[in-house]
Amino acid sequence: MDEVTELETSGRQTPTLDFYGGSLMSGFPLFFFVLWAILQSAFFGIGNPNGLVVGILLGLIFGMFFARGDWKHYANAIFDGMTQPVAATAIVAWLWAGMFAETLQAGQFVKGLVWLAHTLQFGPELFPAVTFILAALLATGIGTGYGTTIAFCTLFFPAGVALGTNPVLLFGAILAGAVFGDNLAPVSDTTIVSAVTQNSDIGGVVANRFKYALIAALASLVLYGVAGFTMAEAEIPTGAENLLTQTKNPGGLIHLVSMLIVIVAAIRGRHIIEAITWGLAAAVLFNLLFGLCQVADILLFKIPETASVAKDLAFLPFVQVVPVGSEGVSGSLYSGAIGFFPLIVLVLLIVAAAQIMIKGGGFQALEDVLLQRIIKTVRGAETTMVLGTAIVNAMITINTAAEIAIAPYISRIGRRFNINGYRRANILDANTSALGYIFPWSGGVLVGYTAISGLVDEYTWFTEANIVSPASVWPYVFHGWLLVVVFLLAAWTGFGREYETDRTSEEVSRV
Amino acid sequence: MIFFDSWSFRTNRPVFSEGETVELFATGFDRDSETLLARVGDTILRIKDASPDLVDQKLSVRITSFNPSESTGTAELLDVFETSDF
Repeated sequence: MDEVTELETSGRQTPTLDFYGGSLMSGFPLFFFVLWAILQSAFFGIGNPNGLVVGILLGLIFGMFFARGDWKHYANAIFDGMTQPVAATAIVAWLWAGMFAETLQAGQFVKGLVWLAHTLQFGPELFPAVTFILAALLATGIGTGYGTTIAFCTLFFPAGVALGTNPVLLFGAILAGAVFGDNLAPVSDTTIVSAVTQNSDIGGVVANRFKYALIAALASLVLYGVAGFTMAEAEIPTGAENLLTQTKNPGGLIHLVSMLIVIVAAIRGRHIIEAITWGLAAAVLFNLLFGLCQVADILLFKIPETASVAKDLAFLPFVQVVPVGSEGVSGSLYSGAIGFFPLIVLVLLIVAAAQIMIKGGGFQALEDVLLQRIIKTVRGAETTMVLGTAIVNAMITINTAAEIAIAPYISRIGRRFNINGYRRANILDANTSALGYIFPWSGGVLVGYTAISGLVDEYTWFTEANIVSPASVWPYVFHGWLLVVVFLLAAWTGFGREYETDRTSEEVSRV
Repeated sequence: MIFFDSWSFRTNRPVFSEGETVELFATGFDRDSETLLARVGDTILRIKDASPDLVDQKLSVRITSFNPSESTGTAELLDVFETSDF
């Protein structure tokens, strides 16, 4: 079989961009970006995607100095990359997903889950397992693991500590729930990137990854149950009331319906934009019908008092007259969409850098090395895809950025063995989601740590001793670890594997 | 139920039958025998009378012969599809 592997690497497209130092130098912009991302996020501890934009811009600028001949070809490759459908599709899906997620948050979805936890009356031993389930539920609904981590570290974490639950285990359970949703939710940014970059429909990808997520989640649930009973209980802080009673609202649970509308519609083959639109419409309707929030929480025009129409329109529920200098637009639709702007710019630039690497033959050169020397079998290819994604995500704090950077490799290595789009997308996303919430420098861990640290100022009984260090939580993010294990086992055993000849993933309908 | 699709173990060397029509990516070109190759898992299909330009393209092919003991076969090109990812 080795002989054929070598034959397979011949007969490819001739590079159209020439670089000093050979074709691998066409990968300079992406390589520079990865180094920048590691430096910024892991070493400097700055988890800000805006900073990454500068990293990829500088990578593209410095990369140009290695290009031979007229630089206009290099510049044109940037434009070619940015106009790839892969970027446009991800961007549109993100904007819709952002609006939906924020509208669910505005509609007190979290408070609904708090009510559920309070009503079920679990003791400190089972609280981590319950927290895992509820965090997974929220993350699957709103698609953002970071948002889930912040919400749960702010509400459930102090409530669990007040019950006497082991805080390290509890933080691990919150992060594990975030991993679950980040991986499975059709509105998750990483799900969208995984599907779009592997030419697969989002609904199909979600339905197809259910098996891996379920196996890892069930095992995690058992582990949280066992660990909850065996790990020493923390001392119950004096002065801590049952916090869950103060922030609960059963009405928020109606958004389980909004969430299901999106999931069912996407899996039934509706375009993701259509599926989210139905979910968004339902969420807005529920919010207003059940008084979960005001119109202004969804959309608000803040008109300056000097505007001629200010007084005439002030009666409208989505208008507020404000002092000059405070004007603007706000609400969940606004903040949900705006929240994705840095990532949108980043994906455009990364896809441009990937295009330069494709045109410069860098991908081909790397692929040749991988296929001739390392990857000899489909089992080896899938193992490389799992470990490659995991390593890049372990290094780059912001997991969506890491996913975009590794996605072209996953696509090309997978297609060399005709592994179909669903399987490729699932390998890519599971290991992206998992590794984004485990290590002390991971974005998910850092946002959770920041939220937990802020509790000292909020509750008098919550002391520095209750804060969980990011360095101590990594062994307890069970769902994250188990997803990686499930995929390694799946690569070795062929569990869930599908080839292009078995079933071709439906391409995401372009916008 | 769509959630329970592909809860199974798939072989490294998929088997094809003569006359079967499948869609796949062309994965390489053997310059010695001037044959387009499509690797599916660890199975190799040789596509006759096809251009090296089709490498990385999605194709529809009909299997013309298959040897399960060696996991190799031949196929004829039926159609070429447009693809738009990396």
